Amino acid sequence: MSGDQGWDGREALDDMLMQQVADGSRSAFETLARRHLRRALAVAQGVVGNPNDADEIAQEAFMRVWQHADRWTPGRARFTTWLHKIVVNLSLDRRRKPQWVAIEAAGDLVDNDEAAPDAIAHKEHQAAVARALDAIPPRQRAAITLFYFEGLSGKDAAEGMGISVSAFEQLLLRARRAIRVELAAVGFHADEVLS
Amino acid sequence: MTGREFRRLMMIYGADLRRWPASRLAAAEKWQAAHPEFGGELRRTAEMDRLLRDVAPLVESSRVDRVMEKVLRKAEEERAVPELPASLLPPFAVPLRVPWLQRRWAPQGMLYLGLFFLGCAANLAVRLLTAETPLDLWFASNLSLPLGG
Repeated sequence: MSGDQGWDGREALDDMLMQQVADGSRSAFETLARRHLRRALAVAQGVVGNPNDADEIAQEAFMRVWQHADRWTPGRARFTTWLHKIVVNLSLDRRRKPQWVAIEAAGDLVDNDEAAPDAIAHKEHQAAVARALDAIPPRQRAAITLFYFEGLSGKDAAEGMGISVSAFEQLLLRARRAIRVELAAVGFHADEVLS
Repeated sequence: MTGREFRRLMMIYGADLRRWPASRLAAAEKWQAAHPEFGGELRRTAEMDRLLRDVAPLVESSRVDRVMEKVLRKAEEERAVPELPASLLPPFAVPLRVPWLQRRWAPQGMLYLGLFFLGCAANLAVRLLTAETPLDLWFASNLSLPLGG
């Protein structure tokens, strides 16, 4: 999150590494990729749902970093914001049907007779959330991914998607409403007061 | 802050007030303290937040290593392609995405342009000097009107 201690230091390190990458330093590129590849993979998978597609997207995103590092202007924007933009845009370009892994994780709830009722209900709820995420438009999924999965602030997530904060809030609001509907179908009622 | 606004922000940003916009945090905390009856709704929202976090994709280290290897290999392959020295680039070779006014023209481009115009001038001169029909006769025969046949 942007308020974390040491953020400025990490940001400055990213800036320095990017300058070296622009000069053609392979070791700086490797360090930069090691720092952010996991995040790129998680964001891509959050949006497209499919791990194989996410791998290709993350790979392509870092190749763009390598190829276009000379366009990077230190201090103008955070490297992570730039990377999020690349990853989100590449992910939104993919139009394949997402396949949420969480649905598979919920697959054992039927044959697990000895499981506690709470655990079964939790699995059902997880499956409902996964179904809802599967069904919502990719841009709403991207908003959920950046804010809830990656823990970015609303402002940073909006920048990462290249949209205004109010537009980002609308995406989150619609996404959560869709999730709430799926959850209500399995007996879980969250934030029910807001209509 | 009104109850409606509080609920709207809760619906967007979840139950953890620390993740709400900083500009609304103080007002939200004040509203929350004044409305303890709202605790149940906050708890349900917190549960929904937890469900959301639970379905976040997990990225194993082995997968990161595998993709990292591919990224580095591809970057190395790109570097292995030799770049043409600037002197061998075609004239006016500038990146297409650079705005028109910000483009830096390659100096050798002016040389090519000068040679082109010099060639044109030489070609015209040779044509005029070696023409079979003198120019004044050519004009007289082609551009005059026959009068009275």
